[in-house]
Amino acid sequence: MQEKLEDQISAFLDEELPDEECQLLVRRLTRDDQLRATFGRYALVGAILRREPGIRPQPELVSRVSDAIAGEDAHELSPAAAGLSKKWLRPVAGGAIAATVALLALLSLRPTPVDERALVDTNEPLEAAVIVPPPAELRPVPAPAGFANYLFSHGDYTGSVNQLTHFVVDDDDDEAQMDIENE
Amino acid sequence: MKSRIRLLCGFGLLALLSLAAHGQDEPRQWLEEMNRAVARLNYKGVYLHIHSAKVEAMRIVHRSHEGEVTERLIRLDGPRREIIRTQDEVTCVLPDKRQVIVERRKGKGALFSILPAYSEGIDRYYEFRMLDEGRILGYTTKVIAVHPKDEYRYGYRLWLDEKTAMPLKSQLRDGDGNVVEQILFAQIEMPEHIGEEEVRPNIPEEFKWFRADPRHRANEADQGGGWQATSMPTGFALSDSKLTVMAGAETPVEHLVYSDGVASVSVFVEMAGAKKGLKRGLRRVGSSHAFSTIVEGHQVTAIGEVPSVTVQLIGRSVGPRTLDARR
Repeated sequence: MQEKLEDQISAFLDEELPDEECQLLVRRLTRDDQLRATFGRYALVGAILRREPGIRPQPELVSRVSDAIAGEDAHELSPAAAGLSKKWLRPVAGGAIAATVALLALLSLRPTPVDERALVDTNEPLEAAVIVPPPAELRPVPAPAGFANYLFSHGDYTGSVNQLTHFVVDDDDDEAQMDIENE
Repeated sequence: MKSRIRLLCGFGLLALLSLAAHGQDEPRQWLEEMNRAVARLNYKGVYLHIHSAKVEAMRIVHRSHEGEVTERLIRLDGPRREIIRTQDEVTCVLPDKRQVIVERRKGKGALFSILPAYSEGIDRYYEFRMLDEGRILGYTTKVIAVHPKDEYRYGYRLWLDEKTAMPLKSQLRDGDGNVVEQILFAQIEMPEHIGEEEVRPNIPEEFKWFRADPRHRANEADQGGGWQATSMPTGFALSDSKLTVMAGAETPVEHLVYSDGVASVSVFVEMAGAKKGLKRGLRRVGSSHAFSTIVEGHQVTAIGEVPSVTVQLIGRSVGPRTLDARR
């Protein structure tokens, strides 16, 4: 059961979970602390695997991953077997996939609990940990959208986590996220 | 860990114990304690933002050091986004757009604060109740319901850690009790100290920065006053008004804030000629509604975490103040 739920979380983060299952998962997330913690951990791992600045594993974990890569277990694991999200794999190339699978394998090991605090180390200099190739061609930078600015300003003014979160997650698809009823 | 929390919040616990004697005042006083807690505590963790069937995971770090508060929000799923709020500035990092937007802070409220200050009049528009205790992530919580008394506002249901008053779960609800949007912590720590490096933005040099033009800053002292809303739900009143220049923009925007003490609606007014693609009508972004219209060559937008009827009522009534009214 727990494994199925974890698969659903992985599919949800990949935006591949059917709508009816999404609704069930969301309802379960609101009342199941353990499942919510798992969801948060999966999202955190995804950020680590995408090498998001400010979110990266502590050196101890990196060392454990390296050890795992050196061993046989990681090589025997397919990404799917490790519960690895396809989306998480996209920005990872070459030998990094082995490290990624190993990381997920480490995080997926049961019954060893994973302490989320061990995952995140924000003390390291950022650039040393970020390995993201620059885009071949820089797109022109548009001026910030007016409506997004309004949402941002109002959320900042009121301290609304809801609105700031919406600004953060909806800004990449500004108009598509809105229901517009013309006068 | 738990002993540190107890030590950190010792005075808060004593204060809260005394609150129980106040009967019906208890929920409001818990909310005031929550507002102090979200500003004063050091905390970090992961929260889930749930609306409809969507879930977003965000990492949050809140550092309070010698009276200075710095907050950092990082999106964990989807394209990377990051917001850093200091006392004076809020910085938004958009790596996929290679942009950094820096705005001057317009309010001083900490994240998660909802009740700026108690006023007697709030009882006319909201009912405050204590519900049965709950448990979130192993913490015993006090559960508070804030129920709106008319269709112009949303209510809240909040689960506050009984030792620190930190909100561990927060639901925005409509007048029928339906959950519109909710935030739930998936993991949280409340350490005694958080290092400055945990809230420091790290931004590659090649990113393009949008910062409000300093030439306009002198004008920001201008409190505005050129525009006003003349219709609004009972209990709402103008709580702030200023001219501001948003990052990346050339022309100033008048920003008016109307509030009933819990809910707030911002009205933005700017010259329509300065904008491409003028907007008219109603929009919804999560629990927020926005209503836009054009008035005398200006784009007017009312936005807030309120039902659509409220932004429409306020937005439709916005117009230039008369000379008599300005005096």
